[in-house]
Amino acid sequence: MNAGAVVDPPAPVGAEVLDQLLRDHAVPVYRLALSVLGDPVLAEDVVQETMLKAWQGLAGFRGESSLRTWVLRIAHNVAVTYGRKRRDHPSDPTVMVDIVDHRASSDVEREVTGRLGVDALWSALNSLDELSRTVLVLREVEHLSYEEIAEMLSLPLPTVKTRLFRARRQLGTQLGGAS
Amino acid sequence: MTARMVPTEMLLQWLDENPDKLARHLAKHPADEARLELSTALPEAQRNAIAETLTPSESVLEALRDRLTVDPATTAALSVAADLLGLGLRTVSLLFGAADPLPSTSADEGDDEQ
Repeated sequence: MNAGAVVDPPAPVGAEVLDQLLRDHAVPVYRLALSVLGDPVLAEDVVQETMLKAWQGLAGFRGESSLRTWVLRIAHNVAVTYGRKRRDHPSDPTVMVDIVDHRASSDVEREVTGRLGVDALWSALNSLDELSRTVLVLREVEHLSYEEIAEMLSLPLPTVKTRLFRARRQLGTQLGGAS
Repeated sequence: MTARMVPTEMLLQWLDENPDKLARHLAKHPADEARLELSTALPEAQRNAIAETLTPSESVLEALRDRLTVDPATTAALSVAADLLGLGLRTVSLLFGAADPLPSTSADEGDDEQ
């Protein structure tokens, strides 16, 4: 399965397809969810729910967009819903600060040495509003086109561009040479 | 007739203070958009750092695989059951006039749209 290509709907949709979805899309979905929610535990839940929804809906996927964009759109919708639920039932507001802790224990040494940079990065990312952070990650990390982002987020194309330019400028100003 | 070039500083000022004006301008002046694209571009190191910070560890991915692939049918059935339970609770809330019905888990997600 080519993650970026427009593909015909596969059939039958079995457990092996779910496994393929996971392999191809779990990482981008997790990154998007983490950027929206700032909570690694919720991001894992979003991956799980997104994969199930994509798996269940794959037979109806018409291939009008890339599979990757389609899956990311599901993920964004799920993440936004989780965010809404969290607003209705707020919990620990400091979770974003500890976001680095989602990383593997094997990365601990690198985390310690890079802690200042990571903290500065998260502080800068956290200073962006949720939509700007989402646009930034979709463009700079997932390399979606402006048109794909506009379609995915149901935003006008000029809005996507100005959001991205502003987010980059704000991030660049805050980080300076920090990373 | 050649359009007067807007200085980059002016474009950045519009970006900060009047993004709607900037958006209208960029729609007609792709060369200015290209300039703004360049002048706001993040260094590669920062882009890589963002990606690295957001990327899950292999152990997280392994845990996700375990959660989903042990028995996806059961997991899916539980997900549907949770959705139905939520729908039932929202219906009861609406019927009996609760002020704060539970948020929808799927109806507003548009996950089958493209």
